[in-house]
Amino acid sequence: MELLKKLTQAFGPSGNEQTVRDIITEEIKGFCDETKVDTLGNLVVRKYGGGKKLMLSAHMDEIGIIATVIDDKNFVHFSEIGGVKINALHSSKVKFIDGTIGIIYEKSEKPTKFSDLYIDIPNICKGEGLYNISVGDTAVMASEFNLSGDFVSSKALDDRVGCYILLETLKSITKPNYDLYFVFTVQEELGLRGAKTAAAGISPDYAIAVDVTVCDDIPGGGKYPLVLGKGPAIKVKDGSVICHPEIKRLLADTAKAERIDIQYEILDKGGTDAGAIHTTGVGVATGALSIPTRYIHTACETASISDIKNAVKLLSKVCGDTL
Amino acid sequence: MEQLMELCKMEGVSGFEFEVGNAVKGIFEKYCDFVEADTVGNVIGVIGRGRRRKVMIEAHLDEIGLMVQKIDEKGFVRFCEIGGINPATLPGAEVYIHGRERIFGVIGAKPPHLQTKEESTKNYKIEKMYIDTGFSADMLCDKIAVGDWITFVSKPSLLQNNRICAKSIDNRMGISCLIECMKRLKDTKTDFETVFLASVQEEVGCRGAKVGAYKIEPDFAIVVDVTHAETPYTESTDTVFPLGSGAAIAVGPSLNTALTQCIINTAKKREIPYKTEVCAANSGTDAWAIETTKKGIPCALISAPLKYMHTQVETVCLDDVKAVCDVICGAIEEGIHC
Amino acid sequence: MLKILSEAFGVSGAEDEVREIIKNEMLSLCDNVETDSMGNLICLKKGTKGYCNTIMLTAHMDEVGFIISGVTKEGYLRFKTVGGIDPRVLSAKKVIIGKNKTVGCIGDKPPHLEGKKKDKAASVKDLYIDIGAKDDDDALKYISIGDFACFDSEYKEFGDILIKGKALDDRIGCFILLDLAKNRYPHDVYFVFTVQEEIGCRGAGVATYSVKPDIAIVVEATTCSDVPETDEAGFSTKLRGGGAISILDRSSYSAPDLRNVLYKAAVSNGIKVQYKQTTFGGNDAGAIHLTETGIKTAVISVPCRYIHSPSCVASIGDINSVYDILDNFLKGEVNEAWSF
Repeated sequence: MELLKKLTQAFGPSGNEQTVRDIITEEIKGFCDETKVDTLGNLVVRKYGGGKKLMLSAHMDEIGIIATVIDDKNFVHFSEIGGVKINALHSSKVKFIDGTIGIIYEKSEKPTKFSDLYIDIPNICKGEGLYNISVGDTAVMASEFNLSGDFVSSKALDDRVGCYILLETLKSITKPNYDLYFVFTVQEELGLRGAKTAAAGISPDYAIAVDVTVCDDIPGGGKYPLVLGKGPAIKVKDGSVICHPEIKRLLADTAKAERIDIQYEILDKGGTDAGAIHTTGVGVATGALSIPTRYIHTACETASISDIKNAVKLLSKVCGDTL
Repeated sequence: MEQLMELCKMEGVSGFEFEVGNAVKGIFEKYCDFVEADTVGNVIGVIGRGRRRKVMIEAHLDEIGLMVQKIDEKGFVRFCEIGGINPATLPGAEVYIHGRERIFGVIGAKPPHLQTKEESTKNYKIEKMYIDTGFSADMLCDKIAVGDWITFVSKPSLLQNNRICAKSIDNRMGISCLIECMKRLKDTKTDFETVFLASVQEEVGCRGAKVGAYKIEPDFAIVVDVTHAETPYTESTDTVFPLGSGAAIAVGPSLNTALTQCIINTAKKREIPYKTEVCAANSGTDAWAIETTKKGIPCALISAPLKYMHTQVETVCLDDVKAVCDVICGAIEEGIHC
Repeated sequence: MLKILSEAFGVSGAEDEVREIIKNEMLSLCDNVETDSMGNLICLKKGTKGYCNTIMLTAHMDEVGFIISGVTKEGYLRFKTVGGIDPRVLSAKKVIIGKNKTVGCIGDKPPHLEGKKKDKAASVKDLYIDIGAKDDDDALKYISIGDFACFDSEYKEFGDILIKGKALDDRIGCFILLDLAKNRYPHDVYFVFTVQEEIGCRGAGVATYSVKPDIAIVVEATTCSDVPETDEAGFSTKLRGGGAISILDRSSYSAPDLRNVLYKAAVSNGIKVQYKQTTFGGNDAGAIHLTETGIKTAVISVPCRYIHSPSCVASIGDINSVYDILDNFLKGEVNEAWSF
């Protein structure tokens, strides 16, 4: 799990995926035939195989914040990047790219918008010096990587866990069944943006997006039936896509043959890269495989290691012969 | 009329249009020179391939519905909506769940005499309702699964004054217009290669039309859909039309002015009843998605007024449907000079 | 020219008048001028050197406004807004309707008759346009259902030295593009005047699909809230603070390298420049940067107070600043200065 730790601890708010991309670029060396970074910053990794094009995607970016105003007392005012929850930020720490830690607190009681919060960087020195934060700088939630039994907690499991699964899948394949494209996308949290242009560049026949999904098996939950540790989830629908029956079948049949437990995911709202991919060009038969995750978009996203391993096994079998 | 009723009986919620798609493909094949289904399930029919200009007539194939979200230990089925649904219309509704087999069920909710006073004054919430199939959980789990789609049971009826009441007139009415136009244009000499697109997944965001238009890339598109009709429940400030007032031709910033004017001229010339429908922003139809495809596709939107949209008792007037067909065929016969 | 542009009629979907004005100017300035099927005006000015990148500059021609949706028996017009207008600015304003430029006013209750409801904001449903018609038949002699309407507002220069008018969002951008087109640059430059920005950035994506530029810069008017009753953290931009370069907004994250080159073009030439310091709003960049396989896109704006009202206010200095930044940027040698 060292790789997952490295990936989740890396700095990569939407639009600033460079660090994550560098880690992945290093990891794939020797396992692929072609790599390319496109205009928006998506990393497209190709492994030659015969026949139809299958695109697997996971997004590199995570939610975060962006400094908009630094006032004359050096307090930082900010906006959110992606679907950040106010409660998850309040009274917590954020980390800038250079490691600077900021403390978030409220300007007014019961904050309801991000302008009700500010960041205090005690040692900030505007313009020069040790801590140098400027307007437009971004930060992510500061958090430890915790492993405990079958469970892993960290920031940015959404969607570094997807990146991890793609990497492990790529490494395990000996003989591809398809012309494989492993795509590490940008700006998913801002509206599935990277996946859209990446898919336009590839024009795949099939696509599978790998991401986290809401796991609601917690006190006060229960609306969605997913349970942590009961297997990766084959997406049926969310707010952005209704998955293609062929891809659902492919995933389900492979799982059955390999005796991998799976669950089915149905979300009313929210979206993943699959949403952007399936309406690209003349249309792409698209599905998604999700890792049930508790506390998404907080500093302590929690998932099951066995679900993650099963997802790797399942995807590898879908993609080709494996080690 | 029979055609429309048959189409309304067919079942196909957004994302699950394969059966209705196949049936419609079969009908298209009777009248078109060439028919295909694409990756996402759109059905495309062509008349007059290779003619100088290409016009696309489009309507969506899908209907709103529900989806199985959870089966509880007693066998009650919890569900979510696909497309917009008014929860008030659900209690007591009859449904089919499309699993390994088609299972009948009724939608239930907490009985009124067990509700608190506060609960009883509010509409039921969708997450508080359930489907009762009469099977135990064990028996049911062999037949259906999470993710199965659900349609309403509603036999089409003929009301007074040429009006039909059924589920999914939105937008099988549009598909019936496509078929009617095919019949009429099949042997007519026109300038156009006419492409008929029956698209999927409109109710969840115009997804089929987007990729269909990308593939077809016509010079113009005419979208056929439904719009709101006047009822006692609509307000005087709403943009609504009485049933029987003819085709509603949309005008507004996202619709092509010249093409629309051309269609209005046809209606005037041929004395086809019509009304002007003002769409100030997103028309909420496939026209919105089609217009911005590739280098831009000039779009017009023609609708039939429909009462009680997105319920099991959608009601349309056949005279309006005829007016929609008349004006589309008329415009194409006259050559769309714009 | 800015006066002519500001006062021209060009609600989203009815940009013809604005397009004609711009087209007439551009025909003599550019090498190729085309109108596409949606109404975008695409003008190419060839570069002096063959090897350079294709740069697309865009400004949108459309403005927020109204569309007539019905007539009451008494002859008042019902309307809907086209684009985002706060209904609270509508009370007691004048509008111009349709091809005949019929004048109308949006009336409201005299304070004497208001009663207790006066704290409640009006919604568009409660407002009517009065053109002086006797009844519905009379009204329909002058206007038709579906006619567009815009604010009636005269362009004025005032204060030190500011301008006021309707539709400064984004006729200011159009004006700057027109001025830039008078010069010839090393690169091929497409000056693109887009339609339907205010109802969802619909024209820009389509135009980008045709032009397929290497990079795109959107020239806009953006919110400026450096006014009383506002915290500095919410200012967004400051009037007289120079051209505002966007970092992140609801529709796009500007390409960092391109954004930096623009900023440097300002600083190294002593031109006033600022960042837009909120993430609200969106513009054509949203559609442009996601076209096909993606386009490097940045946004530079003129700060504009009271945007989307009949009285938008902007500073001549800021307009000049945006022009100068872009002019310096376009003069630059692409290959040397840019990392992409």
